[in-house]
Amino acid sequence: MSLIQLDQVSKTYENGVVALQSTTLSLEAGTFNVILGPSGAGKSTLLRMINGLETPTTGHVSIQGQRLTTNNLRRMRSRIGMVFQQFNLVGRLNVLTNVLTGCLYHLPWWLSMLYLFRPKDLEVARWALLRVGLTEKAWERSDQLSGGQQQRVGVARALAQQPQVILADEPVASLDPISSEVIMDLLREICRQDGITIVASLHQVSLAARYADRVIGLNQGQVVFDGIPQDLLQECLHSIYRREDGSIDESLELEITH
Amino acid sequence: MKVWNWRLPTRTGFPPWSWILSLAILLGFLIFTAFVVEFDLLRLLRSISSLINFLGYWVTTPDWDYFPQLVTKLWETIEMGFVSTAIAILFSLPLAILAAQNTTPHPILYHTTRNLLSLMRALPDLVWALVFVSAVGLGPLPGVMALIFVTTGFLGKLFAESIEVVDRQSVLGITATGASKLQTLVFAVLPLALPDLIGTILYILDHNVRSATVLGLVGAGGIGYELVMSMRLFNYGRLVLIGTAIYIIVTILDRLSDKFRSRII
Repeated sequence: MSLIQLDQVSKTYENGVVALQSTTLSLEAGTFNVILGPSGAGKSTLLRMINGLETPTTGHVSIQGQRLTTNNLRRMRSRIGMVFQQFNLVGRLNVLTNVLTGCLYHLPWWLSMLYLFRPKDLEVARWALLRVGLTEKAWERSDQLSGGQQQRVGVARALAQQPQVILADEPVASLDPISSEVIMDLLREICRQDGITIVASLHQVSLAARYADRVIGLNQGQVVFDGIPQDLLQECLHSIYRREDGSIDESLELEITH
Repeated sequence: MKVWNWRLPTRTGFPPWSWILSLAILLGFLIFTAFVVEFDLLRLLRSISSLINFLGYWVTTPDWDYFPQLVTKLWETIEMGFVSTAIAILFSLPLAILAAQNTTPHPILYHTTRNLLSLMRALPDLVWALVFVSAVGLGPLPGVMALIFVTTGFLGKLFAESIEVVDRQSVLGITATGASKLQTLVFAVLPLALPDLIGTILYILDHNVRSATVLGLVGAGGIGYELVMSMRLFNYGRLVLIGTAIYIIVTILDRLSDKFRSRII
């Protein structure tokens, strides 16, 4: 059974921009899915609709057969971790607290008002920090960390939610190549060991080819490729990266030949 | 060399008409007001000699017998500033959350609190002190009440503005975990706004201590009453002490708040 189901979802923003045309997709549990496409193709919109940060203009999203509505939004979100391009940590809080925010949904409100957590939350957070290898940084302010480390805190926060799915919106776009590899390896390990479904948007074809079980190519709000990375031939890449006038980005040509 | 060899980075190379017009209106307004406030250079120049004369009185022996009484009154003034600031923080923080666009539960609440806050700021603390003196009688209490009232208005507005400029990305990161609005407020909005909030509090504290020195004018406690009485009785021996003491207190407070601020940010 598929874990995430998008039924004819589309998104038109208030300024008239069509971010995503009617799309039907189903993503299998425990797989590593990469959404590939140029900027403005609708990758972020697609991801953000899965955890309700964007509401679809038409159609609907279901997780494990349960439809995403305004009533169950918070409960659904608690089962979906999210990793962001800009890490989106609270810089002034220490690393452990940032990871602990992944447990907020299950924490009673009076405890969270006082920054108090239950022992089991702390256990989960410590485990998550161990997984990303940042145990010794627990008490440091998160804005003191390097970009790669901050993104690992972001991954740990998602892990602390004990999610079924982790959405990663351009997780390595602001990282150097080595940190990028660390993060991608981490996400793959999480996918393989914990059986957590990964949905990551990327713009590097080479990374997609290396890590993905399934690649979904988007261009101008439309799915133009859907298959295993081995089938990601030159023609497919051209259709993913085709501009409105039909030309192809030259930098892409370079990347494909490598 | 050409003197006339410059261009503004606009389409025509000249200032836009809107700028020229605004400047002209501003200038016209200033000329107009000069008559209303009876701005007169000659009168200013003529007053210099009497000003120097007045300052001459300050070169006198301080009235040291008055010193113990001064210290009590000064302490009262400082306490008024601190207490009113502390209580105003308690009132204004919830109001600020309602009055910030990104945290308000409803647009109607947003507009209501904004209006309430501007109402509280509309009249200066001296006027509110007069109101409260006639309500509860003379002493520091009406002064503290007036300060709380006005600074809640100011703090509420300034806090709300600090809350509004908080990094949206971090807030989104917490929202995406399934956290409630309240939890997002506690774990993202407030910690991110904290340096701004503390900066505002230190400024208002400084402001309130200075205001407390004046509230005595209307009998609302603090050093102000002594200041006015000494002025009326031409008691320059006391005035020298009072003036110097206020200056020292405000300076110390300023230095302390600078130290504190640099440590928190």
